[in-house]
Amino acid sequence: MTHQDTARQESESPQADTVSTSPDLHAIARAQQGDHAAFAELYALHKRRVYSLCLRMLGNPTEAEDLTQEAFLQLFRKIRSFRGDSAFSTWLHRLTVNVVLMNLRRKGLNLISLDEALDTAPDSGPIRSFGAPDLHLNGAIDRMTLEKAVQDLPAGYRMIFVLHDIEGYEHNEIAAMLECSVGNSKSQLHKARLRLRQALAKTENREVTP
Amino acid sequence: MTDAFLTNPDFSAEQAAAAEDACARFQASMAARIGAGEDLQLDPHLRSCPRCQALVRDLEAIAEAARQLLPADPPDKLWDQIQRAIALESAEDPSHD
Repeated sequence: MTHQDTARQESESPQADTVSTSPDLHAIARAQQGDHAAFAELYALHKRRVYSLCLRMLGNPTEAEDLTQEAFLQLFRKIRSFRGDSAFSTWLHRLTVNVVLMNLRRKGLNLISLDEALDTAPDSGPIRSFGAPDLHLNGAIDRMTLEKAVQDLPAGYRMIFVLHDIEGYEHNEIAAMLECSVGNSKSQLHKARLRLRQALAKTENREVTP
Repeated sequence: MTDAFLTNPDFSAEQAAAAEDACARFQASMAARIGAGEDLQLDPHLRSCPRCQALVRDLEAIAEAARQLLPADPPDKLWDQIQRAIALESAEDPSHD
């Protein structure tokens, strides 16, 4: 297991985190009693994960800041209702997803009919893959390039990709969150990966061409 | 087989077009079949087509790269903003304290 894997398991993956860690437990108990320093500790422990989730789901740093703030405000309001039935980070992660989805629904993004949302994307022509380079053969996928490509995905694709491939949610969980079918989640994820492949191939071609 | 059709000068233009059409049909069907829960690894075209196998490998590589992405730090000012919002809310509703 690499350091990256270990770090990810400790605090980043909703699936890996099945029990709250010791620092969490003390801080949670104190924060539930209204201890502001304990709440600051919880912020320090979870800020990266909450902000990254918002940033990747929204693709916009300013909105991500606003919704990170909203998520921690919600946490402040609701922390007394946390009973420890699930890991705290899982609970907070789900709270954050709900904050983002509520925001997107308020803005009118139709989360049920993702295809419809995608069809309005400016460059959503048919995806043809023939002749595209095999990224395995051309080298590893650059992290920054992938982040940018994810940010540029249409909202529907981006949500499914972030929730499944980055955050580790299962299709049945995503289907429940987005109020769509499991099949819809699976097929949209495939289309999102195709779109990313197309974007990554374009980037590679630009880098190769003098 | 498809790549051979596309790159071997002995194959006719019609054969190359037919091979590319087979790839097109397979790739166009992938999303719906994945959505229906079908295991595409068993598809006869995929098993015999290096180009479509490369596509599937690329998609798997993208998923693997996504799993390796690390979280980003929020700007430092954000905690000050959150503290101010909490203070405001606490002042309006002291039951939070």
